[in-house]
Amino acid sequence: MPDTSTEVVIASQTLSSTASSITFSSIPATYTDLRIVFTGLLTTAGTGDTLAMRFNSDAGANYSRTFIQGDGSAAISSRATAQEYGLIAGQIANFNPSFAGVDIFSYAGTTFKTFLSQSADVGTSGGSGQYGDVTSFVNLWRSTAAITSVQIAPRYGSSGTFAIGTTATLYGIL
Amino acid sequence: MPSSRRLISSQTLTTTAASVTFSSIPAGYKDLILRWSLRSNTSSVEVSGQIKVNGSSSNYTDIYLRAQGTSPGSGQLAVGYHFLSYAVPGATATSNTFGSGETYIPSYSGNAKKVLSTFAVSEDNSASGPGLALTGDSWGDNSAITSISFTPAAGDLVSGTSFYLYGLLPS
Repeated sequence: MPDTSTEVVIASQTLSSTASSITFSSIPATYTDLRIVFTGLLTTAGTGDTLAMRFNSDAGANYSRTFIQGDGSAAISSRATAQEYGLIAGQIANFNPSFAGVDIFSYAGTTFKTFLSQSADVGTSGGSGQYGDVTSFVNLWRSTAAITSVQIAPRYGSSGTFAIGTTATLYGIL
Repeated sequence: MPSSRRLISSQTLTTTAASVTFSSIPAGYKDLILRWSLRSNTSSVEVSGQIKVNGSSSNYTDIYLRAQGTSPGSGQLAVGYHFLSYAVPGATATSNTFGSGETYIPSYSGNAKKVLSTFAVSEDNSASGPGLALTGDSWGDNSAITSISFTPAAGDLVSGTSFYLYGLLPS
């Protein structure tokens, strides 16, 4: 089979111990876009937490977002400006793996950076009262710097910790 | 530098079929991606789609976000398959329109529960046509996924329907 794909694995991490975040550093500027695929769990019981992302260790209020979400009973949309991180998944918890696929467009360019996610976080057994959602976030990072590092974490400021087996893979798109 | 996406198998129908199945999926990839273009011969404008893994009819839980030209809605259900709203145009949809979609299955060969994430769309230039839906599914089974099947909720898939199954490296 000819190798015609434009996706290249830059790095992949699967946690062998719990961790408060996953970071990809020294990202080369040789691709057009980046894509990150995340699958994981938190260690703590409860309703879970959102999944956040920062670039180049920037914790300033330089992020904004708009999302649409279905939580199993209603569809909602909201937005937030001047945030200290982006969001890429509506809810990550400790019962079923959550998924987030994130496209980071023109990450090495000199304009502000847009990143788009699609996430699925589904509760234990369905029916009313179960946790979960499907969500699509569009985020903006208001920086003209090239992205050289990406960090994924449970919402910054929360006590969430990724469980063993949580996986994130960084792809470059040629 | 080697790329990461590999075509495992594809199927393009030359006659109608009740379903499409990919079997004997190797475990040598990290994630799976199933992409399709399809239509059903059922006498309606659209029907939902159903994905089963390993032939299983249990342990699926779905949450969906969908829209059909009016206010978007969301629901959840636990049925015997991964439920895909508005995924399949039927015989009364505008001619030559096919629905498209992609299901992403991360860590499909691991020994943990699986998550399936699908974005399915269909548009047919009508006021009452199909729509689009984002659906997440938790398959509460720790088995490695070795087969995937897609079945429309009614009717058969028509000739010209196509499915592509990709594996993503690294394993």
